[in-house]
Amino acid sequence: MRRYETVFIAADQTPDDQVREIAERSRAVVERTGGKPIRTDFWGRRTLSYEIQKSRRGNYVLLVYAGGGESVAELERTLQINESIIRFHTIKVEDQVNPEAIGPEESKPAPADIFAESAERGDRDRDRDRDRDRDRDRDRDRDRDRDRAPREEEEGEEESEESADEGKGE
Amino acid sequence: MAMMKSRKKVCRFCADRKQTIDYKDVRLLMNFITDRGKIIPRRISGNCALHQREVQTAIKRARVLALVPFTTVGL
Repeated sequence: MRRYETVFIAADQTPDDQVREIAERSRAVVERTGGKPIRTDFWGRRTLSYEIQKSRRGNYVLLVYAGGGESVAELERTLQINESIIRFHTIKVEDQVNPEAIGPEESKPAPADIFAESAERGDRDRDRDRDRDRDRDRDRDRDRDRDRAPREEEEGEEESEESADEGKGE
Repeated sequence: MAMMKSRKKVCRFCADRKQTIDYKDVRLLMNFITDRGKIIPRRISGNCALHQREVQTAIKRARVLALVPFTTVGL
């Protein structure tokens, strides 16, 4: 058996109970296909680094389990069917694991960065709402200038990278 | 030789064996990404080949899960 980790992201508007239910059903899928669920971590809601299916935020869940390829295939198939899941990704963590040797694990806290974010979510949301107005103005300005001026930013960056290299050289 | 100013960079993962590289560790990966979202090359970060490769796959995995940006241009 192999040890796998599957992270899935549910759309922001999905109710928490529904997300828990999906996680619970995923465990059942793993068990049904001869795998062994190890732990499930709920990371909570997090701002996505980029838009996925029009969502800017997502609810992250990590499933850790041991199993064979059938478990992965069946789990991914069920995740694919569910429309509230906007992204999932499976990673093989360990190749040869003895299923008897591993028991259920305590769930681990969400990665530090994510944890910090949910704690100060209130402020952040407020900031974002304010920023959104400002961004819109900036975007409008940028569009207006697009035809007239070439993208100076791009060139600027290339240059700064070059000079950084020289600085680090011997 | 007289101009030699830069210190010899040591791979931080070789220096600290306890430090693991994981795609879930966003705070760590952010150290190896420019503000534009590019992966910082080995000659700048000072990572050894093995650890740079681990960082590279970790960043690519994190990108798929939107933990880390592909790019920050045009968002």
